[in-house]
Amino acid sequence: MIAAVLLLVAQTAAPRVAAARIEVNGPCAGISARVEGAGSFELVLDQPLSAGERKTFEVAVPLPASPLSAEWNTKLITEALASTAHAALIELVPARGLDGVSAELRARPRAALGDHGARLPWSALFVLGAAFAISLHQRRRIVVTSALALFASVAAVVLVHGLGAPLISAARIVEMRFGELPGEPWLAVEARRGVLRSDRIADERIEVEPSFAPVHCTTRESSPRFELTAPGATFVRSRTLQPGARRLAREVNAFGAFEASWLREPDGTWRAIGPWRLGDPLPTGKPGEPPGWLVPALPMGTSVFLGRLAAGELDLAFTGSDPPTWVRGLGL
Amino acid sequence: MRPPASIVAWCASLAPLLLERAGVLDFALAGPAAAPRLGLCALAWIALAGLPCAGSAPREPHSWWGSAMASLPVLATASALDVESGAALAHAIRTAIWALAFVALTGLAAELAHRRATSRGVHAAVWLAVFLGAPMFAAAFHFGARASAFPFPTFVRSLANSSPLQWSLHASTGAASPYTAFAALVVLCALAAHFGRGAEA
Repeated sequence: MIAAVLLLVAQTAAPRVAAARIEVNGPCAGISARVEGAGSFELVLDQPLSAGERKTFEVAVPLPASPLSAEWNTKLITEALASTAHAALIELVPARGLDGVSAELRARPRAALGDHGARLPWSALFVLGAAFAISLHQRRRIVVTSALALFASVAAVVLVHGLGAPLISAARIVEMRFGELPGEPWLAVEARRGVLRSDRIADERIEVEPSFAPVHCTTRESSPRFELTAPGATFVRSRTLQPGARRLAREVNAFGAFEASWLREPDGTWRAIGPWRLGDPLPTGKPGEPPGWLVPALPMGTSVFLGRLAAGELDLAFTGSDPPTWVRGLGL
Repeated sequence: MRPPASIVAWCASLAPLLLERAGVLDFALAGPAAAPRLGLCALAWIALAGLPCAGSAPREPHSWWGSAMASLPVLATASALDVESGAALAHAIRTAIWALAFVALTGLAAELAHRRATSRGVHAAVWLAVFLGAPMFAAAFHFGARASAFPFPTFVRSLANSSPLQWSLHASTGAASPYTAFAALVVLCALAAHFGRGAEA
């Protein structure tokens, strides 16, 4: 019953972006179109197509927030492409499901991202104003204005950098369960606020929070090929990961090197484990709490492991090293 | 740059940061290779520091250096905000140094040109045609002729890239090469110095 409810919750959000194979007819330097109730998409060509030239492209297209049938989505994209007079739909690649991933993994709470970027603190504005007023008054004295500018710059940078909690605008988490069926697939989830850039979208499930936010998809011929934007919203990209020979147990780390890690015992006490090297048993650690944005409402009564992978580890899950990849597992 | 222009530049350069603070602007869409706050802040300083002056305006020696120093705290703050929001540190520092150099050089060109009527004319013509006009021409092509059958002309892009204003706009959206704009500014300074030689007129 619980599993059925979790599965229902996990499947509520519809994928908002799909890959479409289209044929473009020249003369054309690019196409752009709107999809009713979903957003817009654009194809930017490096070299314009000449008259009579035809070429096939894979482009990212937005899908409506409300889950519709594949036929209805195809009809929407066909109509949008028809409005450009330069392109026609060949095939709308169905959004990939997360087959084999347990409902518990899919229903886990997402990392809590900040709802905005860094912002100018009033204290820094005060420093800037005071420095500017003094430098205007002393503008004929070069040494004084130079020294003042340097001092104000350092002070403003310190105030911007040093005040306030760090804002998380992107997160990568590999969700897993320990001690379950051998070979059970994991779930790699990447969340990014506002914009998502990628070279592949066909084998991923892309959702948007809030689900009704309009999405603009730009496709280019050079890397990164796909750029998805939704101002004020968060993109959540999920894909299935096969564990292969990797495994993690208290006896041995056969997974990868962790820069930092934490463990919550079933009784609810957290321990900061620190670095956990490949091949080592779980270090003892000392009492300490993990970053709060990683542990929103995780289940009680079982152990929770959190680890930040070293750069270059598990690079099959995500492209690039920014932001770092976290591993979150229950039942270690 | 005289005090009224400095005040306008200071207010204009802080406007993007204050609008972002108020939630009107959102620079979250910029990638790690972009410095959106720094690019927009530098735009105001570069535009006003290099603005051609009227011949009747009183001359202030070393005002170009004063302009650069007045812009430094704002540029440093914008750069720090970019880094805090995910921009690469090395890229943000490099962009800030280039922005400061452009503010100083545009101010220096305006100050060198101020000495004589000929140099003022040459400076004003180059500034308005190349540094201001070319980016606006490019923007007109970009936004006005975006139809798929009209690709962006390469010569317009090349001309616009010689403007430090275009560089700061590009820096706000992604990586931008500063070398063309730097070379153009050095040439402008040399022209202003050449035509501005001799007694003031």
